[in-house]
Amino acid sequence: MTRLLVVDDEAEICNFLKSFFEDRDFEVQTALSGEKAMELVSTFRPQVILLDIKMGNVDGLNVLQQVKSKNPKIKVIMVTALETTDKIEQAMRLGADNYITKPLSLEYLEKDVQEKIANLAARS
Amino acid sequence: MNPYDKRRKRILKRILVGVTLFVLSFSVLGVLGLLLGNSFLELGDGNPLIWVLLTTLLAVLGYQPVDQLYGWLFRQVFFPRRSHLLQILNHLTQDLTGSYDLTELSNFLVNTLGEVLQFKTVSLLVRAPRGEGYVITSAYGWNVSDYRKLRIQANNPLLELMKAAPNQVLVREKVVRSLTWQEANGLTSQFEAFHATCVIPLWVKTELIGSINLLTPSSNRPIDEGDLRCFRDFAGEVAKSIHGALILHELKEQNEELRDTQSQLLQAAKLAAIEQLASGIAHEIHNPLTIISGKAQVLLLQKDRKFYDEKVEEVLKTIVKQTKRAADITRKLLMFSQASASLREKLRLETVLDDTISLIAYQTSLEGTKIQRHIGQELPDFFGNVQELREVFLNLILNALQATGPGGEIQIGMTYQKADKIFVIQVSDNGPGILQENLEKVFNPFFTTRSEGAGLGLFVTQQIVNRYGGSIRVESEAGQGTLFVIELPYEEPPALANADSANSEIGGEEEHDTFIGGR
Repeated sequence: MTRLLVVDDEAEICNFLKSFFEDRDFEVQTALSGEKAMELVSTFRPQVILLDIKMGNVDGLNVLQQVKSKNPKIKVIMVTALETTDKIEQAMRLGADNYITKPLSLEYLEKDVQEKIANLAARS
Repeated sequence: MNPYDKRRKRILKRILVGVTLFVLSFSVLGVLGLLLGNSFLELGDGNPLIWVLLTTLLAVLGYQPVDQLYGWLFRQVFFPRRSHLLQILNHLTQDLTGSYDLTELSNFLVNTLGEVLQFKTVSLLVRAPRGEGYVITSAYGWNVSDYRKLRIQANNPLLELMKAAPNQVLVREKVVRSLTWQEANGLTSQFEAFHATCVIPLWVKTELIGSINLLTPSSNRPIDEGDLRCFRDFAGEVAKSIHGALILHELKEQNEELRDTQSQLLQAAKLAAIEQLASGIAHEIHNPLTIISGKAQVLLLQKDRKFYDEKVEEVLKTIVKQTKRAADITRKLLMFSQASASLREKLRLETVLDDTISLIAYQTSLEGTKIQRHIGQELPDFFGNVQELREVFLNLILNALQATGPGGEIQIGMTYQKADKIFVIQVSDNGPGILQENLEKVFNPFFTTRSEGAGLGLFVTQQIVNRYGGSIRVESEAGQGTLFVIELPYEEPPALANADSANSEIGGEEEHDTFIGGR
């Protein structure tokens, strides 16, 4: 079972993503803050992370950096309200594997996550 | 008119009047003597003083009518043409004062001179407003296209000649006679370029502001000194009027420029405000929209559905669609105001176009719209952002789709002009066209003729095109359909070393992922 971590400061967003991916046989954990996210990276050891780029006063880019320095193999998909901000460019430079804009297309998101997993499987 | 010339004429007239009166008086007295017989002659014989007195009396009585008679003869018979010229020039001078519009003034001047004085061509050369050199502002007897683009350098030989001899009217024959054969040849061609045999310089104090250039018909008598004097006086007056108009024209232009700059600044300030607002709204609104849409999608995409209800299905789909629409508005608002944040990559414009067409294939098939695409040969790669370019195509095609209605036809052309390094994209439809009064407004934000339109599509399109250093224009006539033409300059893609190396460090993937947004 693939382990997926959803990081977003909106509990409702975490909830529906959790139920959507659990419906598709993922093991899902959610984090409402960067701190909690980093804790789960160690304990839950996710393979894929859905990471909101802007959470209240926590910068998603910081979390991305920490995750990637801890384990660059973890696939990180950035979630953003706007595709035109320069934050996306920064995120891609910092090693994010893709980005997706809100409101989310779950069909597309699922396809992308599956792709990332296939990539992981192919390499290991 | 030259005072010297006037005085000579006056003296000539006086002599003529005197002689006539003298002859007339003696003739009258002689006739009277004959009629009245000896008594009258004796009276004269007796005293010569009586003769003198009578002659003087007759001269005094006859002076006024004879003087008027000669005045009339001078004007109408002896010097008719020059006085005609003078009169016309005087009238013209009077009509010129009071007008301060450079175009109006020059049109009036050349047309009157041409039509009334029957010159073959008349043109007015004026110092280019706020620029280098001189331009022809108006011409009579020329092809419009001949002078519109003509720009005469300040060091033109004819202009140099005018500057060398201020206030001299240049008559080709006279000028040429004083030169060597070679010089004359060169100058003759200059006269030809001016379409003139006679060039009257316009001076204001020490500045040569232009010239009036005349081509006299060969049937006319040659221009003489008297004509030249008329022209020279006339030129003095014309120069004043033109100079005034020129200054006014320059002021108006500067004023317009200032206004343009001001409105640009204002526009920039507005855009910045919209950007701030939109990005704030986007962040605040996209989260609730994501939740609404996400929950609906979770229900829609449930794996083991316990129930299926067509109505519920439709409601859920509507929720997903409408939330996306709401998000698109803020996204569009933001798209134009953000300068260079978007990621650019090497891409094929025709691929982006095809993707966009297939994106709305469902809609076009519903409406029965035909989309025909014509892709030119040898299109190079384009360096740009897929989403932005897709937005451009999408807006134009949707626009055309809405214009034509069901069963319409849309033509899309894409060519590359090698010489100018420009991509030309044309999107035309056979819809009802755009009203003339709306043509200028179609790119304005929030301008729309449809009740449900946001009026942002073309505005955003223009902003994106501008961002690539390109341009977009619209051509349309009511009932004739609409054509949008986009020109995008080719750009060498910058080295992408950074992004690539960053990627290979993490995963060592061979292919760079294409970044796709949530469409």
